[in-house]
Amino acid sequence: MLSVSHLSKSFNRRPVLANITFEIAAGETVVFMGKNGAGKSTLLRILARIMACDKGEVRFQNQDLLKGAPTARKGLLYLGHASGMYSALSAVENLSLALRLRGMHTSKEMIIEALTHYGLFDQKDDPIAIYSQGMLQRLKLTYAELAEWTLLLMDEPFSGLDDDGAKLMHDAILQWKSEAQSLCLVLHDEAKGKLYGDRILRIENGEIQES
Amino acid sequence: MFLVLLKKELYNEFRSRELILSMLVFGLSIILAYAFTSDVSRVIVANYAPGMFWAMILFVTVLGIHRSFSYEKEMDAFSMLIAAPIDRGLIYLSKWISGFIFLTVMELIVTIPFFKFLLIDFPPNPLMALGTALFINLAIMAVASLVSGVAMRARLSEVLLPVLMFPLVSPVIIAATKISGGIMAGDHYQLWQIWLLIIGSIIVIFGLVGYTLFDFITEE
Repeated sequence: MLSVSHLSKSFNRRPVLANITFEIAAGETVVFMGKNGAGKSTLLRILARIMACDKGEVRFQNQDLLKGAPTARKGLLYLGHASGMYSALSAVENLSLALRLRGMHTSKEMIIEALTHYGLFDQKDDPIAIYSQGMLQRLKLTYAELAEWTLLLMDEPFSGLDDDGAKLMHDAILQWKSEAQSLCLVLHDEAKGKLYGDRILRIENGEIQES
Repeated sequence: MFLVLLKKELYNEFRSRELILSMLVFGLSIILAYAFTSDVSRVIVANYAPGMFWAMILFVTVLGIHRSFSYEKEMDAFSMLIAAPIDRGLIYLSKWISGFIFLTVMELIVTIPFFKFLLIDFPPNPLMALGTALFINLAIMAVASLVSGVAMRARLSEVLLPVLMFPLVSPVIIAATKISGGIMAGDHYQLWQIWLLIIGSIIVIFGLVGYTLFDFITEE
C-alpha cells in the first residue's frame, strides 16, 4: 500500500530523517515511536505532502505520491497535532468543507449524527475557536469517521483527550483495525503502541529501527 | 473545486469580518491623515491624489493579505487544505479572487471619503475609473497572493511579506498612478494605455506563475 524508499530530511543542515525505508501493507497498523524531535511528525507530514523532503521516493497505491497528481493522495488522510480546521467556522461547516475538499458530498444530517456520536452535538454550531483541546481531538475523530480513506496518518491521537474521549478514540482505532483499514500512528505510550500496532517502528538518530 | 475554495474564503471573512474591517479602518485612517496634513492648494492635491490613493491601497493590501493567510496558520488549517487531493493552484486562484473581492469592496467604501476629505473632484469618467481600478486590483492581488504564499511558510513571515511585496508590486502601483492620473485629468486613453498593457502583463505573468508554483511553495 505505502512504500517509502531512502527518504531524507534535514533542518538547518541537521539531518532529522536519514535514508528512511519502510513499507506498510494493506490492513496493517504501524506505530511510530521515538523521543521528542526524533522526526515522527516530520515523517507523517512528508507522507501527507505538507512538508517537502530532501530526497527519497514515496509510493502510495502504486502511484508516486511526491511527484504524482493530487489524486494520488486521495486515499490518504492526515490528522496532525492541531485540528487542521478554521477557527471562525463551526464544526458542521468545517467538516462539510473538509469532506467537500476530498470530493465527498456528505449530508448535514450525517455530519450531525457523527458529531452527536462523538459528544459534540451541543457545540456543533459554535465556532471551533472556543473548543478545548479534547473537543478538537473529538472533531478530528469525527472527520476520520466521515471521510473515505485507505491509509490514516494520525499524530498523537490521544493527546488532550479525557477518559471518555480516549475511550472513543480507542474504540475507533479498534473498529478501523477490524475493518482491515491501514493506520499509521505516532504514539508515545509503549503499552498503546503494543496494543494497536502490528509493528512498532522506532525512529532514533534519524533512522528506523523495527521492534 | 475552485468555487468550494472561494466560498470558504468568503464565508470565513463573513464570519470573522476581520479582514475587510481592518483594511477599512486602516484605509480611512490614512485618508484622514492625508486630509489634515495636506495644507496645499486643491490643484496640487489633485495632482498627487492618484499616487496617494494607490499608496494607501498598497499598505491596506499588505494588511489584508497577511490576515488572509494568517488565519490559515491558526489551528494549522492550511495543512488540511494542502493535504487534500486537490490542485493546489486552485488555492492560489481562490486567494487571488477573494482578495480581489475584499479589496474592491474596501475601495468602493473608501473612495467617496477620499475625494470628499481631500476636496478633489470626482473623475470625469467614473465608469472608466472603476473599470481600470478593477483591473489594477486584479494585478495587485495576483502579486500579493503569490508573495503571501511564499512568505507564510517562513518563520518571519510578517517581516518577509512587505519586504518581498513592495518591490514586486511597485510596477503595478506606478502604472496605476499613471492610469488614474490620466483619467482624472481627462486624458485620451491612448496616452495611458501602455500602462494598462503593463498591468495586463503582470496579471498574466503572476497569475500563471502563482497557479503553477503554488504546488511547491506551499510545502514546508
